[in-house]
Amino acid sequence: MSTTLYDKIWNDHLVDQQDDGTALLFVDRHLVHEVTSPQAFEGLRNSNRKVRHPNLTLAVADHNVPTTDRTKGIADQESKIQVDTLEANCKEFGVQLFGMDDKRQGIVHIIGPEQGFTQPGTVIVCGDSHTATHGAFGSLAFGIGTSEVEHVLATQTLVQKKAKNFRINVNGQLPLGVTSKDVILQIIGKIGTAGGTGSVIEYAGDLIRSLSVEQRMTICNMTIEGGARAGLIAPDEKIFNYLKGKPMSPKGDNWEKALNYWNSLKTDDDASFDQELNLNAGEILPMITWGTSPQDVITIDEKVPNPQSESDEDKKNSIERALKYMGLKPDMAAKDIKIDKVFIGSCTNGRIEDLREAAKILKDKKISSHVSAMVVPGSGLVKEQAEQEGLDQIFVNSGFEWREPGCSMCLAMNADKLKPEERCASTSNRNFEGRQGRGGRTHLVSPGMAAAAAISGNLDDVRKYQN
Amino acid sequence: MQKFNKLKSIPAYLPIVNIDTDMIIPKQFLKTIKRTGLGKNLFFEMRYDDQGKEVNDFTLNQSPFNNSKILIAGKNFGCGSSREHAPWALLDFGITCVISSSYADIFYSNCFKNGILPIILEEEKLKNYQSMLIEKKKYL
Repeated sequence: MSTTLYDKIWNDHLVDQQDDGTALLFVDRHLVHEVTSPQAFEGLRNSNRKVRHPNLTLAVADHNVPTTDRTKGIADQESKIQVDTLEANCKEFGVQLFGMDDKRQGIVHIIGPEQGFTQPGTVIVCGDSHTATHGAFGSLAFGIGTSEVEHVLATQTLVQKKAKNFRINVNGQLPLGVTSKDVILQIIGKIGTAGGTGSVIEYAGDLIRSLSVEQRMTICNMTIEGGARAGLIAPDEKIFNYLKGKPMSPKGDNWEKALNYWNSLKTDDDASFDQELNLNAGEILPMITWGTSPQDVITIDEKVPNPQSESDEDKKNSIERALKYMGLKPDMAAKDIKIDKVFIGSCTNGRIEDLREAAKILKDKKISSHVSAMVVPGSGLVKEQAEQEGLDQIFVNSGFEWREPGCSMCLAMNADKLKPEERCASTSNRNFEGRQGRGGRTHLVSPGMAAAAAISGNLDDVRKYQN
Repeated sequence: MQKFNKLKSIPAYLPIVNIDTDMIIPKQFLKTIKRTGLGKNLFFEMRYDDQGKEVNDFTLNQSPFNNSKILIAGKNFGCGSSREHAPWALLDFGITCVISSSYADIFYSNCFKNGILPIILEEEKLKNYQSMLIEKKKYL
């Protein structure tokens, strides 16, 4: 029978399946961070269990870490306790941890690929919804709750029900200035935040194949914002080249064996999907979000919606609520939205290519005098690479702050947050109410668009600054 | 985990769609290393004003809804972050059943790990319940 990429990975990891569809899956890789793991380790301790496969588990503190001078430690006591707890748990249970002063430290979804911990055909889980990022490597990767984190730590397996197969085909070429961030925002705008619920989305088509590994990660990362737990892209030469020689990638004979298997990981030509969507890349424009849900997208040339022109009562109410929270007027032009802050970073757009894209726009320019802006590299290695390329100098010269790696203002668990009613052009993934700080207003954009907004002082078209 | 076969409670109604887990329990409360004590911060941003005082017209601050064990809400409840702190906060507040027309996958499975029953009701039926609740609220 013809199968999809998702079916293949699922079948290869099936330990057991009940008649009602409940299945037990083997988990190849488990990423752990400080926020969703303390109660799971406590559960192990209370039931006198060990971590079943410490060598398949990798931990890092990313959500609570300061992005300013770290030599003084963490000022916030609660954040400090959580980071210290992770450290103590990793020591007690024999789990490898990248500590705060390790240059490999960074956002959990950025360090996995960097180390070659993320590999095609594997099942990867983490107590974090953006685990979907790793699907860019052709791995089945999804976020789980803390009870499930405990289950995986104890057994290296997870109880699951099979999801539906949903394929999104993107063909054609992206216009100048349009990036994979715009592609995924466009997709979420089309399918809605619940459009992928109950499904695993495979991204296919010649545009997807033409994207770099890091651009693919941006797309898979925000799959969860479309409701699907996992996004997948069939692995190819770009993925294999990226992984070759990484510290945790297979070596020698194992590399050849791995390649053999990885090359088999693709959807059969005649496999059928429960749902399909086709998009023309040529029609995608630079996007922004105007509201408080990632599905609230418009292009930079458009206007903010007017609730009066919406007939559906639920939608009308939710537009009204979002406009009120965001402090926007119906029908105002996207480019008239003035901003106070710019945040470049996160597991969505905190990799080296993202920083290059923003730096290209900012080179020899200054940010607007009323804007404060910061770059938070996704990991210590991204930071190091950027500094070698001189990107840090471009950012600093333009008026950006150059910070230490972590999740930072994507969710504002550390000291980096918006004040009430402050408005931010952000390369992160969620524009929920209060996400970047109580009362804070978030507009999701690509790194280039964030740079353009910083220069103009309002949301603006990145193409204006492109040579 | 507490088992229940029957649940009797006046339901609270939040007429908002896409209630995300950041809304259910904001990130500043994820710094705990425990599962308990999150109830007082459930729906924190909507429930308290900038001075930390209860917002009077927020349903869960009003009697008898401050004792509701059932929460009725708009579609796609629990979207966003995987934080199990969301069902922990609901449970700690006393809510053991949520009724909506759809749920985000991770939240849905997190509910069952904590003895919360997420009931899926057709959009139309949900609307009927909602108008009934608004009607009844006048007499409570």
